[in-house]
Amino acid sequence: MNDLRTALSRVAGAPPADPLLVEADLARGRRALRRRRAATGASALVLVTLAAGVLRSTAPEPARLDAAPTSTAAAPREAPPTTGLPTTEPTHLATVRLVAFTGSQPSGYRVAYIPAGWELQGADPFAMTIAPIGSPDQHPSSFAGKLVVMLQSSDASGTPQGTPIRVGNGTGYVSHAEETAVLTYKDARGHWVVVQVPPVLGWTDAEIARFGAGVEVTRDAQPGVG
Amino acid sequence: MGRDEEFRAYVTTARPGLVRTATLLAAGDAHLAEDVVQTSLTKLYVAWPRVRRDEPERYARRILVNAFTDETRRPWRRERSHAVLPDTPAADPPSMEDADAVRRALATLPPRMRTAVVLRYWLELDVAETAAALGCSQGTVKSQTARGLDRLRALLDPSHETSPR
Repeated sequence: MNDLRTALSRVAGAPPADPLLVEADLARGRRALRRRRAATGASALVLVTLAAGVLRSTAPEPARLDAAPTSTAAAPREAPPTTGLPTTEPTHLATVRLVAFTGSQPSGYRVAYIPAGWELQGADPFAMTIAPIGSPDQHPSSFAGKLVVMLQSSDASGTPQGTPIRVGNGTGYVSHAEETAVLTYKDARGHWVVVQVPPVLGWTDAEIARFGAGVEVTRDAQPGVG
Repeated sequence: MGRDEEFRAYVTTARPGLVRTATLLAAGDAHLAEDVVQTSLTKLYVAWPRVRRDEPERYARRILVNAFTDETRRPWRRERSHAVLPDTPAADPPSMEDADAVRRALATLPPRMRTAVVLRYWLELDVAETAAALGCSQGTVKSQTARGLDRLRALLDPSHETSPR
């Protein structure tokens, strides 16, 4: 099978050993470990509190309409705070707040808000990518660890999976695959929009819905296939 | 040496190889491959106290395969429709010497079949190791790799005859 292995070698390429990438891997690992330890600590706190006889509501509630801005015309400099919105999710370290997006809007997708310290890395008709400023991964088509918006696949059907949540004037669904959250909701034009939310943002479902409510998909956007 | 130093040393050496394997699993999609490697190394770091006791390479391989499988199931992992056809039609029939042809042929394999072929013929794992990495039976590994090879050879070597069942 030497010929096959040689053929595979041509596809596999010869990636260089880049110390910057190694340091970025280390940084990601440390953040993931911190989040896991924080989640473990928060869970322990809940158990201790319950054991002490203090009752806490653990039922999830959808975000209130008035806490999710739907218009960019009078967008405040900073997105409305999350205080007052109930959440049952573990306390996250350093939740990245939303700020008004004042940059140039790409074709296909428009955002009212963007995480502080993040930038719109790129967009094409199929997806818009938002990443931390100075991210070592500068390619807009690389989605790992980034905030990504796109239309749902054209051959998807049925109700999306996840917990129902109010997004703007409609209902969306938030699901969690390992540490990444996915918000799926129908926009004003009837398109199903998909938002990938990386765990590093530390957002609750309500904050995810708030970001989603500020997203507008234009006619230039196109769904993928498959 | 602490976790960070051990992890850094391991990744410095192992990263290029992981990227090569991920690139094959992803049928040449460099961005998907990088996503898979980053996800895998993040998990590896969190699990490092367990990993350092076993062979990091075997652990990393299992995580890589699982991360690739998870990525292929995500809703945003899909083909983008191409509105423009390539300028230059292929003048010669596809062959093993043509990297693009090999990449396209790999892409025709379902992800699990492709993974079996890559683990067996790129990483040169035996059937038992491949089954462990895939979480399936050895019989499944054998049938998946046989069918994968047949399909690749049919695409890349039209004179090849399908192996008898």
